[in-house]
Amino acid sequence: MSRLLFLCLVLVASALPAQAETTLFFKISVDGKSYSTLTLDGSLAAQSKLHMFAAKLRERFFDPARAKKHYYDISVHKGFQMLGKMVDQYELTPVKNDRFRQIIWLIPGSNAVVRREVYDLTGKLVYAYGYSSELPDGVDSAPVTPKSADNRIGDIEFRGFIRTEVRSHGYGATHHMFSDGLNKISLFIQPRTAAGTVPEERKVMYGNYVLHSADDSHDYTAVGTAPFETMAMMVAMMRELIRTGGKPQTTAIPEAQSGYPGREGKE
Amino acid sequence: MERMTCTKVKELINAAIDGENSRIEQFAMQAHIKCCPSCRQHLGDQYMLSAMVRQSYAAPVETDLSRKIMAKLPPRKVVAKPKKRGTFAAAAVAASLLLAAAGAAVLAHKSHQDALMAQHSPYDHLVLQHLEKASGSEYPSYAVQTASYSK
Repeated sequence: MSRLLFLCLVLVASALPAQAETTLFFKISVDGKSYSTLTLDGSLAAQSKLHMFAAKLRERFFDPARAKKHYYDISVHKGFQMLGKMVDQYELTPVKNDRFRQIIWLIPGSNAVVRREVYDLTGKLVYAYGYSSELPDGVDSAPVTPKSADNRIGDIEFRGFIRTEVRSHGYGATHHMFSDGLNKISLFIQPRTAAGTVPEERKVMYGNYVLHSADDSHDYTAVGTAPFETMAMMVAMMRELIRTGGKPQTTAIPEAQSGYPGREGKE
Repeated sequence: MERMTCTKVKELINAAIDGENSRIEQFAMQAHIKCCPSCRQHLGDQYMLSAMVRQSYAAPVETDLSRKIMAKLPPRKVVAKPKKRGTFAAAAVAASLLLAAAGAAVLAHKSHQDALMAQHSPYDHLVLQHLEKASGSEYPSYAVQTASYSK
């Protein structure tokens, strides 16, 4: 009996060191004026609220093929050296100033992210994360999934941001998730219980822009990596849908009218 | 080519272990090492260190030392073998304890997360929900493969 217990403990303990070896750094714009810089080990154990948000911020994988080429200029530098190993650098620059620019370094042959930097319209860093000591020799990789297998609702599109998920929360809000393959915006819509006007609020929190506005019937909160103007237009679109009571329809702006050139990204 | 200092050569030695030297740097390093016992020693130490690191990731070598150890033990009285039912029960108890410990760890993590969110601004939970979705929304489910890559 004691031998079996000891064996179980050894099996559990032996699995821990492998995760604890890797170290990740995070640099996050906390309120738009200051940054927090921290490192977490591979277990991403949260010791504070900031640690928790940092751990959630990290996306382990990125598929460059998913980024909408009508909306981004994509440049690739292969054979980029980082921490003694070769990685591929992807720089995704918005064609128009309606979403954030990102630079992502990937392990060749996989979609594993080794470093990511997100910049706002003024070129200011919004957040960054990456391996800080050395890159792991082996890494789990997510296979590239074909676009036809996308898990997307796809019923609403706004300038390349496609609604991928709708979820209702217990406290009465509906969470709409939009993504253009790179940048993501969440829109939380909740029926209002109090009367009166609410001034629009704009904040930067934990590496994300947050915009809150309200009308007579609903509160709208947008969270994500997009400028406030883009979020405000998305809120206006959803507000109109609710007001008209219409069923969700694809509201994509035809490319010929959008001002986006109908071109392929450069790779 | 000017004479290289030991400091520079040791940098080249470290790069040589990783295969990052150019041919010219390699020749220069080897020429220096022929005449410098200190750098020769450093090269040997780095190769040994590299081998140790590689070995630590290698699969453990299985050796059966049980016969040697048992041969040295004093003879013991023959004890009746435990009933298989008892052994199975012990394994079941151990597995249950392990599951209970894992469950307790999950609950502890959740309450820890709740405690961290206790001091919050009105939008903290929305940002958190966004991040939870955003970090996994593009890959709702996937088969994980282990890939290694070369320099």
